[in-house]
Amino acid sequence: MLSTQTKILTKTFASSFFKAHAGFLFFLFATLISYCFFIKTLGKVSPEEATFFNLAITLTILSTPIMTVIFFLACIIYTLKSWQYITLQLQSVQNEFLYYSIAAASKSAQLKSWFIVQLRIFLPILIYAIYSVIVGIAYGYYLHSLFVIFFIILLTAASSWFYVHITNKLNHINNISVLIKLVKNWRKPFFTLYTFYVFNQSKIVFLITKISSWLLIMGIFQVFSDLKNDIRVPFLIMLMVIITHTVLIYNEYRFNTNYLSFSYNFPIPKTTLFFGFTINYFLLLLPEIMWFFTHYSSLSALGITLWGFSLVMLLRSFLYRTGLKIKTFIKTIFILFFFLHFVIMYQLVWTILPISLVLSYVTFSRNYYYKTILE
Amino acid sequence: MLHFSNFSKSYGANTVLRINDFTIEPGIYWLHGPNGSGKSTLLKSIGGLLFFEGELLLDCINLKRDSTNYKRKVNFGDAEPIFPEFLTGTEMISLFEEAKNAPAKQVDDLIEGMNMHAYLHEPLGSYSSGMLKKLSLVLAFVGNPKLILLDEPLNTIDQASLAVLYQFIKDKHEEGEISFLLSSHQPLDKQALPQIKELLIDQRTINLFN
Repeated sequence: MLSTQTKILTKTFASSFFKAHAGFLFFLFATLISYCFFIKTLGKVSPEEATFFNLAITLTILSTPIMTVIFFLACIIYTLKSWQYITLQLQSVQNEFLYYSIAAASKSAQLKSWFIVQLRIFLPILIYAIYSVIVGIAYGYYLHSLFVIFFIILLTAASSWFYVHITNKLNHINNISVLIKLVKNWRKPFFTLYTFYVFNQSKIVFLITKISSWLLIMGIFQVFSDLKNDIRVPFLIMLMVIITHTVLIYNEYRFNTNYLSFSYNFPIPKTTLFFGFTINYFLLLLPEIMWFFTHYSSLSALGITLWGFSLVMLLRSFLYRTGLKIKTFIKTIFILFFFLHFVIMYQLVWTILPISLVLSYVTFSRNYYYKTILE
Repeated sequence: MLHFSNFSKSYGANTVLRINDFTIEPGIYWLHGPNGSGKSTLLKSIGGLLFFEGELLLDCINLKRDSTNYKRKVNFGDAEPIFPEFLTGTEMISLFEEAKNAPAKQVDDLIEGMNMHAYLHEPLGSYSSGMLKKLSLVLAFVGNPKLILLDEPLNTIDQASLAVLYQFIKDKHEEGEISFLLSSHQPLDKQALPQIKELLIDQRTINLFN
């Protein structure tokens, strides 16, 4: 039976962690589906072979030291992400009561509660770990299986100690990151504020997004290495890049709503507002844009980049219609993702560019001023 | 000056304000009413921060049809301001000066009077609620507005700064012909602002209070 303290902490942090990161978790799911979808569509791998490959991947992680290290690194990044999330949540006004309520309980009770919270946050990792342990035991990798379990317990214990430490120490104000201190004297134009926010308060999300984006670029490029001249491949890569960045698109809308609400009083024409904020995506997607320009002709790369931007604009505009409803946003991404897969497969990509731009401008202009703000 | 036509504001099915036909003439107004009566909602709607049904016109400029021009003439100071923590006070002022097309150093007197120079170069994440409130009040004066909306301007600021604020409001009204709508639970100082009139929000609507 869980204590009231554990229930409150779980509800406040674990459940909200999944809600806040649903976009990212969706991305993992979508990637998996797309992986199966494309492999099946191209008819290169039979279902039996796909099962074999999944098993082989798990066994590779268990048996190859470098893959094990990558898996453990992924666990550490996930842990750091949860630390960052909970630290930020603890700084919010609505959670201040925890410092003088739950922090008054015994240290062992606090450790136990936070341990359970972290286990809940680790749920996706736990599911994979259990699967890999079963596979490991079945194929005789006992030591590796034990090590996976031990590592997860260690991360959970370290996390609970960290949370107890930060909820019991006296706070001092030092919220500004080193990166922001370095650019202290730079001019910060209004439309680039989100980029500065990312480098101040959202570095781990950005890092995970970039790692995912580059793994996908390299992965798809390798898988379709024999189809390098097929124009569908770069569009597929761009689609995956945009899907991995949906979490940043959602966070931009949240940042605008939470921190830039004063700007709704600014006399800025809506066309300027519509195009102005895209500068953030040019800056955040710059490495990927460079990749396209170095692997394809300038004209193709420009076209693919514009196509990708039209999707970013569309997703941004949908948020102005739906507001911060994460479930609706995820459904939208899901539908768009599958629809665009077919569009790419049937080589109809160029029809999407004007449709997407017009649709996103109409949606934005109808909703920006008065529909969703601060409702 | 400010005209409401079939104005209504709802949260879901709950209508919190309905103002069919009402005009606020130029002047300084104390907007008051019980908790939850809709004072902040009204100011945010006038400031263009909230959606509403109906029309709002400032000197014949329609907020919905010509929002850019309208927002050049209406400024807003929030009750509990939230700004990006990594920006400094100076950067926020520059941001507003640019957006509102204001001359530099326009609000230096107010900054000086409220003793804000010492911390304006610091990131906003290190500001207390009182310091943020003062900054929000300063920002509301940036530009060339005809109407300034201040939501709970008395909250969290010290007495010395309050006296400076009163004087600034008075001067801006007399010299710059700027009108003010100040919402507050507490009565405003009628000695500092002798020309102040009262607006009461009650029964989900607004009335001039005698």
